[in-house]
Amino acid sequence: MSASESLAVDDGSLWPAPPPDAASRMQRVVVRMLFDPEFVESVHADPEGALAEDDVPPALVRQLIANDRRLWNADRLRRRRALKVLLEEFPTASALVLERWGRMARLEAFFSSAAFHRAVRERGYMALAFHAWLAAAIGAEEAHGGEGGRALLAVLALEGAMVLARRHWKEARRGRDPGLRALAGDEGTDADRLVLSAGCLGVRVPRGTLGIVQHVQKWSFEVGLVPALVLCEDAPTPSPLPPLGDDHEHYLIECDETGQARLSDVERVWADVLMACRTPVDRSLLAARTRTRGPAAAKAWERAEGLLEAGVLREVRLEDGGRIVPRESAS
Amino acid sequence: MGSQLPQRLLDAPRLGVGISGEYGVRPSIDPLAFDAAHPGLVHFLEFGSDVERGLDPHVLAWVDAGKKATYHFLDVNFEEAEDLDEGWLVGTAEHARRLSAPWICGDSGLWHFGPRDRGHGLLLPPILTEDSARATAESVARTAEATGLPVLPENPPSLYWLGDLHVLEYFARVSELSGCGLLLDIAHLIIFQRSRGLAPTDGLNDFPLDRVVEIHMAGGGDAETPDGYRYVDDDHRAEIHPDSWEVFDLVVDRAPNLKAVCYECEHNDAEEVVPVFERLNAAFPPEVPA
Repeated sequence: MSASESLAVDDGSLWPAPPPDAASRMQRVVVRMLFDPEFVESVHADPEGALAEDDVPPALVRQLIANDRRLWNADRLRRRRALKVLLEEFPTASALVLERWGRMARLEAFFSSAAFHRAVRERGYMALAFHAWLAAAIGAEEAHGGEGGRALLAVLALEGAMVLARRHWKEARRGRDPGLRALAGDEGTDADRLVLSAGCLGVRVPRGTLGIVQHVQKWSFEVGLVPALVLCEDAPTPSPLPPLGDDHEHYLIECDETGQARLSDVERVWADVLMACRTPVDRSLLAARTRTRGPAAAKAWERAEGLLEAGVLREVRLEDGGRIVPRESAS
Repeated sequence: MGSQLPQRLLDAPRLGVGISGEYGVRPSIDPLAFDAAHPGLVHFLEFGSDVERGLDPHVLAWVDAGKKATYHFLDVNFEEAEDLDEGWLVGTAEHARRLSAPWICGDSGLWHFGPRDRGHGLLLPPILTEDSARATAESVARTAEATGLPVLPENPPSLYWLGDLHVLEYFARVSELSGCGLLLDIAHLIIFQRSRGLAPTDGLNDFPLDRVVEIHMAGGGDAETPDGYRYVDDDHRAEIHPDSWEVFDLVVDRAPNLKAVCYECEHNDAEEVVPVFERLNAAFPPEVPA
């Protein structure tokens, strides 16, 4: 698996936030200062340069830097608390990356990264930004001759897909259903479409990925029994990991009524349909995305109908201007 | 100053003195046990939560015993119109109605960055500008309309402030523009006044005290970071700062529509907070004195 495959879970499926007004732009600068001491130094040293992309009123900037800069770090555990929440969503990847890097500070560097700053500036999800940042960092290490990153990238892809499914579920409940996001430049022909239900995703990862997750869970459980074990010279470690295969395994992720993501393994042909239905498809588009023709394409559509019956897919309608509406409320 | 308070708010019951509580935060004073041990001191429970966590067994036991409660949100950014999504509006209204809360209240600032999500939580003050006050007023009005309940924005705590308005001017504008009542947090005001080098009661003569429906009282004290930065920590200790008492005494006498005084003290030893409850009740009894 490549880093780019892993990154693909943050696929721009979420609705973009509206442009912020001056107050919100200023608030987002403050948030970044609260999390990033390096940014604080930059803002104080060269406010115009540090805030060049932020379009904040100069008068507010003058007030900002008139403050005692030590106040931004008054809450010294802010980064650690945020990191704890992030690591809870990436339990296996975080264990593997900490074993690989050996220092918590390297993970805390996320809060000084462009990915974090962009997420705050654009009102994005920190967990998705963290995933993208971590996958890019591991991918870059691999590209420069690092070893052992394949397992980490595989686990990141799986955990990242679950993170994304949970955000899709949340966004739908907030009236910003990713499956109903307007289409631009759509290639389909029919107005009636099928799309994944909110909180459902298909994911493909190298064979053995779930085995690694289970292996690390077992290690984590054992360490959790006696946490002081990690101080021992012969402390148990996640490595060696079970091997990854050269082919793939496929999963359906479904969020339950509380937003918790569950995994079910599915055959490749079903996963192909799931992955094709991230945005609304008609028969022709499903065939194109699953690279099927003739009877195979008909079979793919049959599978889509089966997934519709199971509630994994839903019916939507494409209206003028690329607008997508649930079939039952179509005009 | 602008329009009169909504009739619904004017008709709302006088709650008297109450205690705060927050979802799942322990150790905490059990309000029912405290009420049993010290009858007549606590007349309502102000419950702080968010849509995701909801209501806990303690507050449900309180209201199911026939006692009064208010709902304090911890999860909305009034400066960002997009934060008032349908899920939040519906969920907040459900929680407040389950408590039979006469209004919804909460600090008006930035409760989270980005979308509402785990790990995004914080509390930043609003930017004290006219534009921000307008945005906040629109959100307050929209929340009141969507939930069917009055909304009382509260002046939040902060170590810094941006913008040229005094925090009292800012909330007066929010109230004027939206027609809402206000929650005045006196400890937060004291922190603001100190940060600007002002006296505790500065600005109150021009503040629409007739729009203050609820007051928060809480303890706080001096703190210092390892690198020597000194600040007032709004840590809700039991002891109330003398400056807060000075403001309280002034406001309680001049706020004709005051309905509730919440003492934010639930994390202290129960016996330590009794004298403050006694003083607050003496100044603001649950029944209007004849």
